[in-house]
Amino acid sequence: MKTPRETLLARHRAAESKLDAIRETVVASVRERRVHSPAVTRRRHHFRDLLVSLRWHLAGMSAAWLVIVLLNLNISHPASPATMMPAAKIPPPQIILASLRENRRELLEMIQPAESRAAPPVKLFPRSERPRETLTA
Amino acid sequence: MLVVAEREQLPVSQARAGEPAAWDALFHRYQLPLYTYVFELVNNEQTSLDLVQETFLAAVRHIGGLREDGKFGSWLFGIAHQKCIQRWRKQNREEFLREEIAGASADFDEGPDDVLIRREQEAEFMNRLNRLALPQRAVLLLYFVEDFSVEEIARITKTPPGTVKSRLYYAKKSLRKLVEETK
Repeated sequence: MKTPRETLLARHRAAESKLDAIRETVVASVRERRVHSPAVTRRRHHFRDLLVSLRWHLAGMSAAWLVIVLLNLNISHPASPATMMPAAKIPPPQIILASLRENRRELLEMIQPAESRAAPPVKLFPRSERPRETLTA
Repeated sequence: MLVVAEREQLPVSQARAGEPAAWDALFHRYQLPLYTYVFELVNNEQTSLDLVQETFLAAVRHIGGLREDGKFGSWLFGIAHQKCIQRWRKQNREEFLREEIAGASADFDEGPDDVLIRREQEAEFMNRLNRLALPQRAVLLLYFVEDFSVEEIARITKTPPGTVKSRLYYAKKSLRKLVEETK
């Protein structure tokens, strides 16, 4: 008398040599995988994991470097001397206007003679309205 | 007394670590039961050998997906079962999809070894087994070959435990009839 298990297994025992061959093939593939893969693959996986975990930091750093490079390009090709002046040294427009007015006033003072500046302005009249004394003299 | 995978000390953790000797021991333990199970489902030697090899390779590749080392046996049979299903679907979809009536309550007080078969009954036993619908046959084979529990068979075949109980009930009833008829 046999159990169903014994009956079933006995029926297929003849295939055991083929199964042994299959087992050896698969185990050989395990052995090969173990020999070739571990160190390199593990290191590659670790590096990839590291890159993935730092992706946002790397993206931010790349953006910062991009901005720096663009700024450097702008500085190396200046549009005018004014652009080269540091922004902090340019005075506000009101002060510039005031100093320009002051310069203009000083320039005018230098051009005009001192007497003309001191004498009252000459009044010009039409011939008929000229003062009388000039006629009697 | 039947020795089943879950009660044995199997080198599953070593296999996880990629130890070839551990895989060799595991495959040696399961190769014949697995082949028997697959063969009785597909009824072709070359196809069965191919499926066993595919199962072993898949086990090596996906060992990381095994949650509990103690369930290696049912996990391995689960892989083989899925491969058989893929084969059935290609060959005979209708037969695979045929469902038997579910819901019958089964009595599982007896173990798989309680059914004893005499030499002259063996051929008829196999004949009856092969005449069972594929889902019933799969359940009965898992029960006989590895003494898997209803829960384990449910997990392997991806069916509810109630359905497994029902399938087992009808399959055993059919085989019991044989034993009684030929007494």
